[in-house]
Amino acid sequence: MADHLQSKALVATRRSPSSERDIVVTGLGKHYGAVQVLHDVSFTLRDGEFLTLLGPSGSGKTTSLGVIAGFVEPDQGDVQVAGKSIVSLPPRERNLGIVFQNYALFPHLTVSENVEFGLRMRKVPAAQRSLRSRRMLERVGLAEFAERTPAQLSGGQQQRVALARALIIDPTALLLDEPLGALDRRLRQQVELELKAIQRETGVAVLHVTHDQEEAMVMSDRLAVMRAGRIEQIDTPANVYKYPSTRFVADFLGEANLLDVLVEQSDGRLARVTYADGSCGSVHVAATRGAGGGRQGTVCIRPERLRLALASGSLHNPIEGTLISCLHLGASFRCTVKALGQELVVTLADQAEIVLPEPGEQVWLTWGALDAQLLADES
Amino acid sequence: MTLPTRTKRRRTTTGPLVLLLALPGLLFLLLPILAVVPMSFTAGQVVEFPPEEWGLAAYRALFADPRWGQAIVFSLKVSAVAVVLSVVAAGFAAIGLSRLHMRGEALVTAVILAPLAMPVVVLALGTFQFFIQIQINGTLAGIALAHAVLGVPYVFLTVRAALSKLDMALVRSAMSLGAGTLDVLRWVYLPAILPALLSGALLVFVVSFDEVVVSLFLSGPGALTLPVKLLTEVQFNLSPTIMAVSALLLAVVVFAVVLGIVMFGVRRTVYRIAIKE
Repeated sequence: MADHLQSKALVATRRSPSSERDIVVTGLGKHYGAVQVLHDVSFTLRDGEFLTLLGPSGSGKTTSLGVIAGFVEPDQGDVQVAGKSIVSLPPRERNLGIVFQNYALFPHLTVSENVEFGLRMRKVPAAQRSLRSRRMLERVGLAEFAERTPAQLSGGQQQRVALARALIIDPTALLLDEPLGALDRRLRQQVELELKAIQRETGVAVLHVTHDQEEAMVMSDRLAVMRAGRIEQIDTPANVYKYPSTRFVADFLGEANLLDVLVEQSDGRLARVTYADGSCGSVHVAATRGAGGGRQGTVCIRPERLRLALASGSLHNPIEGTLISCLHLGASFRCTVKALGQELVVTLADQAEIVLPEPGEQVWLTWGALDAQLLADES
Repeated sequence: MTLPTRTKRRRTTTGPLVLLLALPGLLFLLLPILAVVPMSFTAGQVVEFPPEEWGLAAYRALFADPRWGQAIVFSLKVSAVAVVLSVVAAGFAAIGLSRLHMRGEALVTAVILAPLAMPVVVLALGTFQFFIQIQINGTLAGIALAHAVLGVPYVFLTVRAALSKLDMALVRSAMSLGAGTLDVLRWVYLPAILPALLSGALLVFVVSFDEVVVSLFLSGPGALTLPVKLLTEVQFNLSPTIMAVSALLLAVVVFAVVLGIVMFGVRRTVYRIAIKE
């Protein structure tokens, strides 16, 4: 619970007092032919925040970004900035900076001409244009590349030019459409940090679209997990990971052990459940599930939240299992345990004193109420 | 940048053999054309090969007769207007079709490309009838317009090929940065299709400059293109002057092809001339 409060406070301090630059998205719907690609998508991109739309391909994240940018016309819903609807404005009047996956730099223009483009369209005098583009290129560390063409730059450098080009128009928000997708893994991690640093420095709100969960975890203040045109959960990365609300979110973000249980009773915050072997325990309840017992449910436990013991001795409500295998992954062990009629994954941090059981040996598993999350019913 | 080296390697392995097989054919086709050049440098009044006496009499006669000069200037004007008309029309048509995604796209494309497939005589006859009705038969504008129709498919095809490689994200990012329709045309489309427009223009010029069927139908007093003048002269008055004109035409075409090779490289120029024939 402390996590909830802390993260909200963190975001709140970053917000400017007025919410004039908030982008409020309500009830977006869109279909292509018979396929409904967006169902009632609503969220607010707060000023100065880094919000990620995370989901597999076809989940509607890029379409949502397209609607905000003005490239896709929604069937239903509205997008508002400072209380005014922008949904019928052409893209050029929306004042949003966009970075595309392949950067979409103008190939025949130099780096500085690319960066100046938005100012040129706004009829800013040439002297002022070149001054501001030089300053922006310095900020992204590419001042000495101003006269090159995009083809002469590496992928990471092109990405920073695209960022500079989008930032120079002082956009209401920055929209990033999988901008790291084309970079190799090592470079991507570096660019993630750079991007985050530039965002913090400029204080610009960012709406980021990706299918990469790690990227989303590292960079976002909040993330919205999307599935089949709907937002399944929107919260801080830590909360989404710790308290996933649905089976899909639990599976998509990290690894999850999913246990079928009978919910005895629930006050909407904590619930008492019965596991497959008849043992009982308390679990945390997903915010979207609500109170009430007497029905089936699914409990999610992260592999690192399971505790593994060789003897049941002093344990509270232990569950018996048989070790199947243990793999050494360097920093941790990944063990598979057969318990409650299914295979559960347990990760253990590698420590000097660690004693691992042998495959086939009897082991005991325990977890606390806040380690287990009762998920919302599938819609 | 890896593509040219790969094609180069392929050419060196099969090149000599292909050349050896193609050489007799090439000579058979080229020598009669090249023979025009020595035949134009005769001092006599008769067309013969090889000439008995060498001289520049034919060229002197050519430049002394103002009607040849007029025909050359007229032809250049016709071709220039045809190039401008077809480049503008085909450029916009290709861009428009690529953006609209409309229902009758295939039909419109077929109509644009029709002059390629249609028998030129039929096209010429139809145009002739129509131009008499609207009273532009036997004028520079009429011939240029008809040549532009012939030229549109070449520009359309080259521009469409260039557009198929254009990243639509460029258009979107230009729009998001504040570009209107004209700005997008100026900053995104034009640079992307400029090489295609230029090579298309070159093709249209070559097509127009040696076009004879349509020009013959649409010619009139004071509206005589060089090839038409040449044709009528051959029928009634076969003289060394005609050889001189032919040699000059040959020089123009060679110049155009060399220009094409310098501007766009050997492979693409050869390819474009090949699709033209």
